Amino acid sequence: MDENENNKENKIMKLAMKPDILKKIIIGLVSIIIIILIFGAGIFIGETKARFSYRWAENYQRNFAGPRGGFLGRFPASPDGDFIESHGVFGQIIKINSDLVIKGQNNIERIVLISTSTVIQKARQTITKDDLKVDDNVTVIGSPNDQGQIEAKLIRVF
Amino acid sequence: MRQDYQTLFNNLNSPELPEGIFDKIIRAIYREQELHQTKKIFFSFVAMLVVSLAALPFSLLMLINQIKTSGTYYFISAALSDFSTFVNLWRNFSLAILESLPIIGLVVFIISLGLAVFTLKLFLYKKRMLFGYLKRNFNFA
Repeated sequence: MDENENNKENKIMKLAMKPDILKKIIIGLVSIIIIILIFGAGIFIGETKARFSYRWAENYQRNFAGPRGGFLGRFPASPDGDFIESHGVFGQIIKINSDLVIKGQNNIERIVLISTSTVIQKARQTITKDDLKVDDNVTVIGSPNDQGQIEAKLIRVF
Repeated sequence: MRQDYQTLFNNLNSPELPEGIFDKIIRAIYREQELHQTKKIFFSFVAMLVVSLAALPFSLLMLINQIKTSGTYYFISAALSDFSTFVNLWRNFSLAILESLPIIGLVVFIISLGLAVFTLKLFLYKKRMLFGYLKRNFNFA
């Protein structure tokens, strides 16, 4: 009985020690880890976008003073069935108040909050909020808040 | 009707098999199998070549177009234009780029690129076989 088990173990060890099989096992494991990482990143990104889209739709009336599509329009929902990016926006400035309203991809309005720590750049120069104008094309990098707005960390004017 | 049909062939000399006939038969079978396999590889190669040549430029254009419209291009360009800001805000930059990645375009492009690379690899490994087949069957110089 013991001899049989020893033989089995020896066979397994010999099989595992073969360089080709070992190489294939390592490649397989690395591939599985990469697939799991990509899948995990996809889930994380999807969740973040879905959460932001929900908050954006929930707060649409408060942020933009009226329902999306007018007062007789449909109930606010995620635009075109797709989720909105929460950590960045690029597009045209359509309104400047204490914050910015940007018309982004698919004509979706996004509120971008500017704080004292927000870096605003044009080419190589750092500019201030007062230098921003309506119709400027900007790229914003920031983080989402609970009101479906983006707290800007970098605004780059193109 | 002959009555001795059961013993008709008994007195005939059984013909001698030519020498080496067995080897010749085996060789002929092997050659036929090889030809069949070459034909299969050749037509698979032609099909993959046509599909990859048609799909690769189309998928590349689709990917470039999607990168431009999704904003990925602008986020990458903003990251590259000021490296120190990128280092400070790397997490937000990474998430913005990942969120805007055109997944469908990327997957289609990677699949067609993989197919093109596989076709090229098949050609490089089997070029002698493929040219031999062309020479034999289509008088290809």
